[in-house]
Amino acid sequence: MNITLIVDGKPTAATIDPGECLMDVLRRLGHTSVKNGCDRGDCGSCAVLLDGRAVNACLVFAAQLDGAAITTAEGLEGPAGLHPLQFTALDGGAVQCGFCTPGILMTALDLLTDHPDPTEAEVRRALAGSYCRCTGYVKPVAAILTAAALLREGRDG
Amino acid sequence: MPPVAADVAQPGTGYLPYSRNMSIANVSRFIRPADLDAAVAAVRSGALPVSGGTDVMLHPPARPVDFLDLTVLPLAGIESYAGGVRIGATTTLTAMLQDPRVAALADGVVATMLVEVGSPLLRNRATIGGHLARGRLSDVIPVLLALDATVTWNDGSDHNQSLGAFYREDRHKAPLVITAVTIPRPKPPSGAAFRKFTRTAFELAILNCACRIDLDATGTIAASRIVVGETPSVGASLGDVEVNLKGRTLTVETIAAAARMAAEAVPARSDERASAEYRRSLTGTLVHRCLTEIAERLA
Repeated sequence: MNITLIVDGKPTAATIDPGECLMDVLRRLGHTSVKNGCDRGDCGSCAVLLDGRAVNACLVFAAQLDGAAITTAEGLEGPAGLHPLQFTALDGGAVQCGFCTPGILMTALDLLTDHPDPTEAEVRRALAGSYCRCTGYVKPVAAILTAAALLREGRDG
Repeated sequence: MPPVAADVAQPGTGYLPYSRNMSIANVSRFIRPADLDAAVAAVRSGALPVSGGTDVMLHPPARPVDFLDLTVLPLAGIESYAGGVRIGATTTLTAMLQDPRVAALADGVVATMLVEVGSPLLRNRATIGGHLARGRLSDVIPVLLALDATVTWNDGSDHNQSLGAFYREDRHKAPLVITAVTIPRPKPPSGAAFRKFTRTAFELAILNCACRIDLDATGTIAASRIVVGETPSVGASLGDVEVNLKGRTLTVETIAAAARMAAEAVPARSDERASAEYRRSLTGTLVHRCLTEIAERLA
């Protein structure tokens, strides 16, 4: 069957199998920031925004998404450069092997949409479904809190 | 803007030569129903209704089957009315968690519970109707049972049924479409609480417990719900404990006796996650904690 997705702002046609998940379709389209860590919703490495909310792309049927807007980590960077979440992850040493990073960034973006000023506990709870097997969570959590502060400054200033 | 031709991708042509295709087999078609009648007709002809799809993806059909997309129907949304809150079947768990009308209901016990269900990534996609249709591995169902929720479903005509009866009759396995769940607002003075025992919030409960206590004007217990779930069956009300609580005041002694009785009455079984004995012990502890929290709130 044929669907059109708006991936990172760009209308994109895809021919899919009815049982295909969004993760496989996005990777086939070349969006390899969408990582397959577990293929069962446990690890969060394939997280993307679906119409503004972060989801496990491995658990979503692409057949249900004709016309939907998808944002991958590749769509985070703007004309002004890296997104604050990307910048603080790099600057704060929150990236080691990098495999979980795109999913964590999209999950954090979902959190900051609703909670622009989260507590550390709220950030940790938001990452309940995001697994990092290298650095642990101290630096990613700190980076997300710093990004939240940068985003608030940008909004207020 | 027309689709970009260069981005047309074909299934089975992996972007990388070694990429594995993780999608599921045996989905013949994905039907987009025009309305609820068409959806029910397709389900009665053997199609599998799919809402958020997060659980369906993990449990592929053994034989070729048509899937039916419920998310194209106007079934999402939360309405408040004098007696409570009505939640449409394709409402996501996140939408429920963030809704102030749901949060204001029954001491916020629905929201307290939802924060501990799966991860935000799952809650953003999983829907209440899909969750009720699955009918197992649930923290949501015990809380809805404790609040005397009713489920609305259609199998050619609309039906309302208490959620307890819905599961006792195995109705969730029948060819029907769940359209909504309604949670009545408890009449004050009333208190509700939920406890889940697990290693982390993201994991499935080893046992969970949802309780509701309604008091009469004199401060004695007029009605109660003591629901224990993941026994490992889906939650069920402990009727003997509820009968025993009626007419008593919620004292430390009443709570201790109810917890002991619940531990004996719970239909606990062993599975790979915990033994029946461990679950019985947990039942006493969680019932005690829930009732103590309610007593403090009602004091």
